[in-house]
Amino acid sequence: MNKKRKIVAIIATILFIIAIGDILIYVYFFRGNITSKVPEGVREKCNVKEEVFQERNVFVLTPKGKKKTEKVIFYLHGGSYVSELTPTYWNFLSDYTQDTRTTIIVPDYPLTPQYHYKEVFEMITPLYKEIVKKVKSENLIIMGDSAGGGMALALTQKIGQEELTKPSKTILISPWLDVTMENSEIKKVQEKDKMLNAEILKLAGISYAREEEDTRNYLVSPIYGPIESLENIVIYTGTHDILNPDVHRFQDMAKQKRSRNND
Amino acid sequence: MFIGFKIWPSRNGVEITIKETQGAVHDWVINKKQSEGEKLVEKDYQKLIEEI
Repeated sequence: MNKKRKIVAIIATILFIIAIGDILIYVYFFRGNITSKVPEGVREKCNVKEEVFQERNVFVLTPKGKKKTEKVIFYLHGGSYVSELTPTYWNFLSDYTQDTRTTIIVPDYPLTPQYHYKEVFEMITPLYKEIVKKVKSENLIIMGDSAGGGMALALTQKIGQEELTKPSKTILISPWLDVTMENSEIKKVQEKDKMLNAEILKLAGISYAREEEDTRNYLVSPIYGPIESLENIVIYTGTHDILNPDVHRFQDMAKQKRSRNND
Repeated sequence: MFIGFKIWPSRNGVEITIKETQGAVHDWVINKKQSEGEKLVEKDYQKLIEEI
């Protein structure tokens, strides 16, 4: 009997290892290559043009049945750097292009764990440079949510560092500003947050950075980035979001940097 | 409804504005649910439209 149990345990262990192995193979070799697709119904609400930049999709949304304004939004979607554009984003973006009558440009940027922040910025920075050739600065807005909010702030900082043409505004929705998740206030908010888990986010953040020491690189965690060139940043945040404490910390850190610079 | 509306202009031109909603969860404006109520989401979404 004991021998039978041992055999069953060994078989179960082998099957478990095979299952885990399959999951890892899927995550490492296929997940990063996932590309976003336009869900059914979206094209009934707004116009969607699919372009290709560096062999990745870039979606251009414009209002349907309405005259568009000259405003252009460069939108970086969220999803913890691991998820593509989900139907929730498509719903939001199709509503938003209709309601604001703007053009929204959405890159289908590379995802972690296969890709990392360097590959992401190697795509979105040249794409931004292409956009500013065609769109006047006063009409251009950078916008992003969650992981895309962090990316949007980091891109705005990089634009300042490289003295590129700046956008008129950067709008961040529930931005992820520090992937280290070390802010002690996060634990207090975690009890109220029904959507995010700090420990899981931390793993995604390390994967996006590739190396743990890079988690403080401002392109990964823009809270540590340069503020001097930031001109018009608007942040939307809710108090039941574990990313909320770092929004306040960002403002405090920016204030301190500003007073040091002014001394 | 936004509570804690803060504007921080500086002589360097740096400006960071935080628009905070009490009780709202992550990405509530995008998900259009899971906050204190649909009306709250709709008001915040309208603010986001006015932002442009």
